Amino acid sequence: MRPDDERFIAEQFRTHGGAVYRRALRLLGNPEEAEEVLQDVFVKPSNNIGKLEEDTPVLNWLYRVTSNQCLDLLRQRKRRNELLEINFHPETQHDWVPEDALILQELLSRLKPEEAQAAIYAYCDGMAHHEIAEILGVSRRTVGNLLERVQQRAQKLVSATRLGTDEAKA
Amino acid sequence: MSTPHLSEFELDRLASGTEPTAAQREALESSPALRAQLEERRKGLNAFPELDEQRLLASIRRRAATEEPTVASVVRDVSLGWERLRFALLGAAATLAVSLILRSIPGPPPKPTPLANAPTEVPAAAPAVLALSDGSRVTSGRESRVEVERVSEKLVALQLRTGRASFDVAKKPDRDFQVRVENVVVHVVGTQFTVERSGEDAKVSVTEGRVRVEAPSGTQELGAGETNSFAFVRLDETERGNALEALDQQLSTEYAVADVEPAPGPKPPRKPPAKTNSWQKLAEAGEHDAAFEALQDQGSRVRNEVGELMLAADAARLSNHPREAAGYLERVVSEHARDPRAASAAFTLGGMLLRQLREPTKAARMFATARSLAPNGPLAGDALAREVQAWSTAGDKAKAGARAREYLRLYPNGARVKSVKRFGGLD
Repeated sequence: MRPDDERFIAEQFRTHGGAVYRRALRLLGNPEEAEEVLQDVFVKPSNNIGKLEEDTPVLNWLYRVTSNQCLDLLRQRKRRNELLEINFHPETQHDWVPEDALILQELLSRLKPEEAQAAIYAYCDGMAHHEIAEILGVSRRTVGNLLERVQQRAQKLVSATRLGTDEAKA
Repeated sequence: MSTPHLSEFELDRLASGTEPTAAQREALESSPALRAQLEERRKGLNAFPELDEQRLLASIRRRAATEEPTVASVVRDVSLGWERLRFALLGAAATLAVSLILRSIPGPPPKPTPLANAPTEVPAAAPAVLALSDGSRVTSGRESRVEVERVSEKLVALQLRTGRASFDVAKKPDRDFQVRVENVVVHVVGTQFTVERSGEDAKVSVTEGRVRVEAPSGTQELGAGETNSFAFVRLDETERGNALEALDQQLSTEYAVADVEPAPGPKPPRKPPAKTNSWQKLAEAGEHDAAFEALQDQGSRVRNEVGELMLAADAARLSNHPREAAGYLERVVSEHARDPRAASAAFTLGGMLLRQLREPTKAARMFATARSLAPNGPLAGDALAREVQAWSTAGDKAKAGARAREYLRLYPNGARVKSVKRFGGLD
């Protein structure tokens, strides 16, 4: 690694490391894995990402890299018991009902990469379509199409997985 | 008036120094909570006491010195992209291939790997050393043979054909490093260990760290200083082809594979013709309808292995074939009850029996099974709640009530209290 590489990494790490870690923690729910992703993002960010365009802000690009790394991990964790063990460990317990969280993570692990990214930005991050379009480097129309496909897949998964909505009304 | 809101992305962008837009400024001015969130983000990694910025940065520098590409290199040279990653991977593959070709030439003195339980028949002659680009080293005796089956950024799979080899594996959590002796598979994260093939046994001795060994007799973890022998069954050509195909599914990239030449000496049996649309690949890709169709075409190609049965169940379940899915899940529950995945299989099966197959009594029993398989597991509460619902649907009010009372006793603040009371008749 060249000295200017080192300086650049350190600078980007100090500026954006918090955002990367927070994002990974949010998506994975596991501090150890989030720390791994944080390191991987700054060491080896090319996996499935493609080129960083000259006019792309670094933060936008890091968002994509981080999301992709997390999605890779989620896909690797496809086995349901792994999802449960990791996400419902007592130390990382949160308010979600395990069954619901399982369905959501299963959905994310099954979506195509660009659909999963769009879903995360829209439903986890609450981004507007134009922001998602900016990060993904696609048109707003494409974002709309991606999210429509996500909803279709989600409905299919939920209807095949959940036991019905009656308990929600109870 | 709506509550001021800034997305995660907006907050991160502002925290990194981007000037706020008028709307963002207005949102920040009107919301102390948003200002607090922004301030928290401006602390960067210091907002997380569990992280040591200097330690992490040092680790990144160390790794960046050996791994390509880094943020810096990608940002500086935007034209490299995929080509660079591809080149790095091919480099790793080439290193392995060249090292294997050079096996007949005496190599440098191997790194000493003292083993508490080392066999005594290690050849005294200079052993061969494979140096992988990630820093891992494989040392084997002259009479031993190690073959590279697959290599990529995320997977290294080696086959010990004969003899004995020691492995010093660089820690790389996102890469699965496997040493295989027929159908005994040693999975490694980062450790030093030895595998010896002797007769019909694979003997595994661990010097440092831990390994997970998957063998026909079951899965076992071995820690530092531990040794065990695992009987293997010699794979026939078809089984070996299936094993290689399973490895291919694990590969996240395909291009590294094609460039790895097999080790000198007898060639391993060729992999059967690639099934570009095998049901497993389709299921992994979320194409469940096509996966199920392919699964039907391929008849009985689902191996009696929990991961594969679960995948087949998913393909059937998510393509709206609950009866077929139930069959796969039943096999997991009945034939692999000791596997940790059996409980979630039983839970999923209970749900299908209740909702899709309209067999509430069976569903109730299956939920009870799910709970009994993992009484302290994360789904135990949900399984009990579903059992209440299933008994209620089956018309057995007494059992529904009894299970409901049990739920309220065990989970007085559980998420399903309301529905449990209703289905249990305790309103």
